[in-house]
Amino acid sequence: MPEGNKIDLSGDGGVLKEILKEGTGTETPHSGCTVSLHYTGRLVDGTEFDSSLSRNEPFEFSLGKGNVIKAFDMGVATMKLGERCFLTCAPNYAYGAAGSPPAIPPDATLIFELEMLGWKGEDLSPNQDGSIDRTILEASDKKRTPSDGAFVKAHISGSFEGRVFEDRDVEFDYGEGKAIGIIDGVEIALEKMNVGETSRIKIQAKYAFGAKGNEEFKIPPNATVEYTVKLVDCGKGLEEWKLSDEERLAEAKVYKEKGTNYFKKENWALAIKMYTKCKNILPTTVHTNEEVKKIKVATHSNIALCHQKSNDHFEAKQECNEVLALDKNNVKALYRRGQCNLTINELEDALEDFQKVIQLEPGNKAAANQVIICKQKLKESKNKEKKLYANMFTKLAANDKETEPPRETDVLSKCGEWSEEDAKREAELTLERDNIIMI
Amino acid sequence: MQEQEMEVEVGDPAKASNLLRLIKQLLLEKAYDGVRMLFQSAQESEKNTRLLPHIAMDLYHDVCLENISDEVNSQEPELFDCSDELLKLLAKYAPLHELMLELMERLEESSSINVFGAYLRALQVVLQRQGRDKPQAVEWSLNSIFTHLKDLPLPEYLSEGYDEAQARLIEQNEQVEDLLAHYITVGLFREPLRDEILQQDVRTPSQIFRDCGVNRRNIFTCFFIQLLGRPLALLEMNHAKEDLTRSYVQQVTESLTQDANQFLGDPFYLLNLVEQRARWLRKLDASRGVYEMSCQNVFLIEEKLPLHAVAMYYHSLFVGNQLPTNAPKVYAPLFLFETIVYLAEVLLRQQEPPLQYCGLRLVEHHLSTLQHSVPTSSLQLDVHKRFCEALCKIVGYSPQVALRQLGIHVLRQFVLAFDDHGKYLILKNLMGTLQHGGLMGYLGGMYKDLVDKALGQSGPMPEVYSGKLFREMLLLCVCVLPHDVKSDLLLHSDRLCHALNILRYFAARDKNDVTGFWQALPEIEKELLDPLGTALNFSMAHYKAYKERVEKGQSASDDELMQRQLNMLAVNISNSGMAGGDAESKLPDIGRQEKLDVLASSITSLETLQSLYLRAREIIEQSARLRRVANPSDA
Repeated sequence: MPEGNKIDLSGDGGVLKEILKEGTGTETPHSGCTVSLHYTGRLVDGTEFDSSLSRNEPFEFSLGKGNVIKAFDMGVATMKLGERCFLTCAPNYAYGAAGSPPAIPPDATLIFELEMLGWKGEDLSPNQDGSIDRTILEASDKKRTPSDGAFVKAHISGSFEGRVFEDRDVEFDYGEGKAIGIIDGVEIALEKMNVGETSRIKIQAKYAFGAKGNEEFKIPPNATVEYTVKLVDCGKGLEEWKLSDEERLAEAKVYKEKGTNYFKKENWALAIKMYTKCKNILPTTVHTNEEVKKIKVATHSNIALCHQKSNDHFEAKQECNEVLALDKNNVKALYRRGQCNLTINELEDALEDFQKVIQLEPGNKAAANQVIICKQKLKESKNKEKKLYANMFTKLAANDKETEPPRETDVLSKCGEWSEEDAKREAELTLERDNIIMI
Repeated sequence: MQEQEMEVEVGDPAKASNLLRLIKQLLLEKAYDGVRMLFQSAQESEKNTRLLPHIAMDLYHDVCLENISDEVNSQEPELFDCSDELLKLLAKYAPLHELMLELMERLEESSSINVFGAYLRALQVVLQRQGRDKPQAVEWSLNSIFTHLKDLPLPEYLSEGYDEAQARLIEQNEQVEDLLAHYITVGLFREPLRDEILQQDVRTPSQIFRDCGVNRRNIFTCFFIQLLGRPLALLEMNHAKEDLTRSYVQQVTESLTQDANQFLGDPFYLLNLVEQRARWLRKLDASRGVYEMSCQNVFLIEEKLPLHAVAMYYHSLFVGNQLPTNAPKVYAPLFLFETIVYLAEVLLRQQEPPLQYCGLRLVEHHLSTLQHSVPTSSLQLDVHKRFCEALCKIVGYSPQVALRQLGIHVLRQFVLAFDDHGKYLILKNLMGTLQHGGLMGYLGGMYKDLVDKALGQSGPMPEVYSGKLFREMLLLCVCVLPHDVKSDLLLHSDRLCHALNILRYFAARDKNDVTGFWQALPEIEKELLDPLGTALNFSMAHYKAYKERVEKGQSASDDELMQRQLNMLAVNISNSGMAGGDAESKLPDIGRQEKLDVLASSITSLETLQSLYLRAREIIEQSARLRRVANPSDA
């Protein structure tokens, strides 16, 4: 066969395709599809090293995920239904300089004869019942996927019978997408999407809008919908190994910014969550990196404020303690901890905190006012204690006036001496014992 | 569909009753050959066979159930054998599901291999009658078999771990021998069924994709692989490579693996599902009908196909060299490696040392066959972190010496399998998370060796072995004094010794400052060397004074400190999660002589550390002088 009939799939002559029999239609499988085909692999000398026919089973694999050698992925992705072809694979698109002993020698060019039997989308549904079907439109070479609780940034476009009913950018924590109107099927699919990937997802009713449908989007009951989803980014694992310290710092700043956004919306719970992610992801160089320390101090401080806003003053106090452990003269933290102590009635501690603020900032009027308040409350507290103690002593004094009960009679006075009869019996016993000795 | 019955002409019920009475009478008279004649002779068999459907269950309850027992087998073995033959015969004619339920119960309650075997032979007949219909019933039957196997008594050391000497003798243990006999019996049971399924349960040409639902072939596939897990897996901690003969364990394992290979077609098929099972745990949701058993792909259901058993299947394929010659040869090496790491991690997280051992061997095998470096991008998968954590736990705390030794070897090979950046990330992250001083020291030494190798090569120095990243590794992971001058030097002595050796090495080796060591040295001196010197002086003085007080009998005030240190050691062992309950209790009080021994050991350790410290300082100073002489302008 002339070389001109071969299609260069790789662009460098590494993967050449020669069609033996044209397939039907115009569609070819997308990345992520489960493909079923028959193949026979041979060396250039004609030696057959592998064939699905010898196993009497078509070969199935997930396309485009790197499960098979590069050439196979590249070649199969171009095949139409029913197509038969030869695929000539250079070593660097197959098993390379090392080969795959013993069947495939080093630096071997491989020739595969392929027959496409069919393909289907990837089933992402928990029951494998086809209710969430994914086709990858644009693959990504990254391997990072959203984990539970991870921050997710994506673009979603939902359509029903060809009509687009929503098209928007979304940002949420994985597992909480429902809060911003993301249907469960999309969220389930996102868990298995790599960052940078775009997928088309067909979602049946039970993972979409269910038996009720959606009036706003004009979705009828029990409708199957289709979404195109692009996973733009997702939060990295808190212990992600890939992260360098600079990357950790950058990621922490992202979460800090998200926390601030939620703070402005007065969503204290989510703000705390974001700030907590920020502090957890920061590198451990807090003692040597001033920037890290600064962010950590700010984060703990902000968390403390969020807790105060939520009336969780004890939790807020703990965060202030964390700040002061890093920066013992942090005025803001001292003031806030003082407020918390005052609220939870730790008056002495509160007074101490506010007085220290004044030591550090003599002109701090707010702290001075708080000192006055603390002293007044302490005075009131002491007065209450005095009254309590006074009442206690009064009661005790009253009790002392009661007459002591009379002493009981000495029990020994009731004991009598042995009677004459008893003495006689004792003498008789002694006598009997003497008789025995005599015998 | 109606149950499959033998196509026989049904006889007269009255005659059937007479036949039952005759059988009982003959058994009473011990005329066992006469019973056999009823169904084997040309004159009688056809007539009597037609009567069996009427009396099969009565025959089962009145004769078989009563006589298939250990007591009968020991006292009247001929009666036992005859009843066994009758059971197998009636299994062809009895009501299918009624007998099946009986057999399931009897199998689970079997008291011996002989009783188990008798009921298993009958079940074989029943399942052959069942055919492809009602695979759920087939599954229940197979579950009964497995339940019995896993409940067989075994020596405790199989779960606790055993050494090489014990491994060689393992099959001589009576309980192990009995277990293997059961497995061999199950092998005989499944053989004709396997052959039948391979012929009948074949994908039709119109079926493009594999049927992963509940069908007979898939159920048996799960069964074969399930059998490779516990308890059989507990016997795998042997040293097969050193033995020329095939053990019974090997024979059983190979037989099961080969059957699974035939049923799967592509033995790597299950690897395609590993990430789905191990990385993304299936979330149950009753409101949507998502239950444990509701998945339409049986290979994704943990109860049907335990992941540890899947791992053992691939252990058999790769480590046990059971990969069929016609296995697909198109899979990408990196995919195979990553998937195997998932499975190995599953095994390493099991409590039993034999399973951990298999996990180590599985990864070791793949590391030895990898032809290319694993790219750093692979570390985006969380499994590598989990694998390393599980591995380090074994290396640091396993009570099995062999496991620790193999583990450290595998850990080294694992790290070296990655490209330079990957090596760096693994080492740095491990040293940043581990608490085991000795292991941290070892990893630091690995990094030092990698840098040494890079220094010896021509071409530019990889960025992970020089400059900023090198500095970070040394300052954050290697040259660390946890609590500055107040650090407990004995607790961290292993790590500190390694750190000092590494410093000494770089001072002597990298006089041209290719790595950037000399630029980092001032901070290293500030963070480690200076406070370490101070801490050494304090500690040495303290321990010597303590020892003197003990010698004079004046150590009461210090005893609490020693007790606290000993308890700390116990807590560290306990916190590893590997120690037993004994570690929870305080160590006992020790006497004067024991105190002196402990103190002497402590002082010796401190002296060793001090010696290394002084030596490192000396080398650094010498090299610094040489650098100044060589580059007076820099000075």
